[in-house]
Amino acid sequence: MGEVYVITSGKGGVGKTTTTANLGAGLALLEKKVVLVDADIGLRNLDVVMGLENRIVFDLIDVIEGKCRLKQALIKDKRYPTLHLLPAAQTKDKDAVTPEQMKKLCEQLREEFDYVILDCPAGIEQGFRNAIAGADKAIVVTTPEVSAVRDADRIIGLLEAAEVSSPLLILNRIRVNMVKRGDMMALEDVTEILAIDVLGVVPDDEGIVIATNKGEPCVCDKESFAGQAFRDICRRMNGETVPLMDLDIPTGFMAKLKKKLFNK
Amino acid sequence: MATKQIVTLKGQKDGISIILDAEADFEAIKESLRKKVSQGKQFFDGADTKVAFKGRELDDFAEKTLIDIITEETNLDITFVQGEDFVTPNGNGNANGAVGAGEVSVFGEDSEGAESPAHPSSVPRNSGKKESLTAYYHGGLRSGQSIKYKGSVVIMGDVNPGSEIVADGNVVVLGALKGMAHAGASGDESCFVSALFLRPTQLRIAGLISYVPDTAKNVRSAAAYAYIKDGQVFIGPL
Amino acid sequence: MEFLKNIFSKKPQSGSVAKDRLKLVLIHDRANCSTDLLEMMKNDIMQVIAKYMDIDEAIGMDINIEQTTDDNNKTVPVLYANIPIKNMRKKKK
Repeated sequence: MGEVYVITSGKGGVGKTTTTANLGAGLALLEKKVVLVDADIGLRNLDVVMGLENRIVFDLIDVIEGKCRLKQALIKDKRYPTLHLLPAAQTKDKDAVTPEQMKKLCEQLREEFDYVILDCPAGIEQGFRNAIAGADKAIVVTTPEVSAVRDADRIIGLLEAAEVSSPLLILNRIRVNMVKRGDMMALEDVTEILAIDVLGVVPDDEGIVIATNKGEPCVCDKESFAGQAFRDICRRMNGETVPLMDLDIPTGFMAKLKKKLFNK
Repeated sequence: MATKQIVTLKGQKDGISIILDAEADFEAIKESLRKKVSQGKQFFDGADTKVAFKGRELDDFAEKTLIDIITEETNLDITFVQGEDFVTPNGNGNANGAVGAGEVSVFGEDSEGAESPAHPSSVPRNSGKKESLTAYYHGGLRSGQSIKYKGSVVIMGDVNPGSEIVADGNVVVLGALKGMAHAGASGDESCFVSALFLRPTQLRIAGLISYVPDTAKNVRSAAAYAYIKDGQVFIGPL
Repeated sequence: MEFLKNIFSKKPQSGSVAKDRLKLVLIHDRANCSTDLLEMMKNDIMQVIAKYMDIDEAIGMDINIEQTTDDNNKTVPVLYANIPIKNMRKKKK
């Protein structure tokens, strides 16, 4: 029996979909059977981030309405044979699904897969309620900005009210140099406020934009800083103890020089 | 007169719906419609509009007869005819219908090269549905919008990724086709999809599904049309 | 350079400003989230005070979370309660 995770944030644009795609690919790298479910009905994006948009024939709504079998709607990833996607419908409305139907769907999926990961839509309305209905664990993604942290707090409150067990935090898009000069909240600041366990910290990385442009997750890029962070997160999800990565890696020449001089 | 209305006209925000009695004689409906529209001539004056027929199943011929009556009697410029099963672009209706999905095939990289010289003579005989009703749609389709029609569809505008056209007949896009197009959705393999710029996310004709392979760099994206030959989707220049 | 700037600048850094502002906002959000909680608290406080003095129940008690500035000129949240009193000494029944 697999585990059902929901990736959520409240605020839009903090990296839910990118995180979902990377966790999926990262867990597939660990040879787990994974299915990613795009729960953002009407605004599907996970397919295009994974580069699978041209293979969609059936979608989640078709499965729920019984127009096709679940197996027919699952799209196999082109890089990882154990990774699958269940796309959202683009021309329907989120009211086309009920939380009960989502729950049933998740139950079916967990029979087949080690991990079922749901990409939740932004907001706290029906789409959110549908996405969390079948989940037993939640991952809250946020960025170190006041708006994103505030929304994350609201989401954590709603998750607790819905009895989705203790959510885990991914702090995305952190910029170490800004944190160091005090112009960005550090992980400690965010965890002090949100008071939940940390699953990982992902640095702001240009590689993410490039990978998304190409439609391939950056987790498979050995050079990518963010990719390393996602690989660590996947290992933690898989039960390993992996320390949070040291984000303080000097980038420019000056930074390297400074590091040498001050021997930090 | 105490008889019930067999034709009712209703103004809608984007057109007129004409509700027809399901039982009444078709001749009586024709007569009643003629009377109604000629009375309300100024109501219809000149504006281009969409017309939707409701309450009764109409075949293509009957629908055409009724439209002729309206155009004869008024200055109405009908841009769009909507049947009961029609989904307007903004609708979130049952646009997907039952897609007869067969196996997924991939466009050949230079499929027309494998063919005899691609010119109109290589178009399968009896290409497309000729006698079917055609819906014209003015303007582009954006992500999430869909058009479903029991005849052919002509789009004057671009069809963006994430949108879809499902037609029982042919699909013609006078613009760029980047979304999903399904021609011959009820199984007619003689239907085609054509566009001034053909780069669909996915293309379906009858039960065949195809997409541009990721490895393809120079897939024809100029004016082209796609059709089925020997159970495969081919693309030829226009 | 950065480090010199840090020593000599008196301006609070934007990161910590963000954190302080967030804390305040969230106290409000969390309180608004649970008006029930505020109501429960109010009832409890009323009960305790009613042990020692007479409260005018007709007017009722007003309870809210607001902001004030402390000695260091930092904004801090306060629980503000307005309790109308009828009589300072509880009447023996």
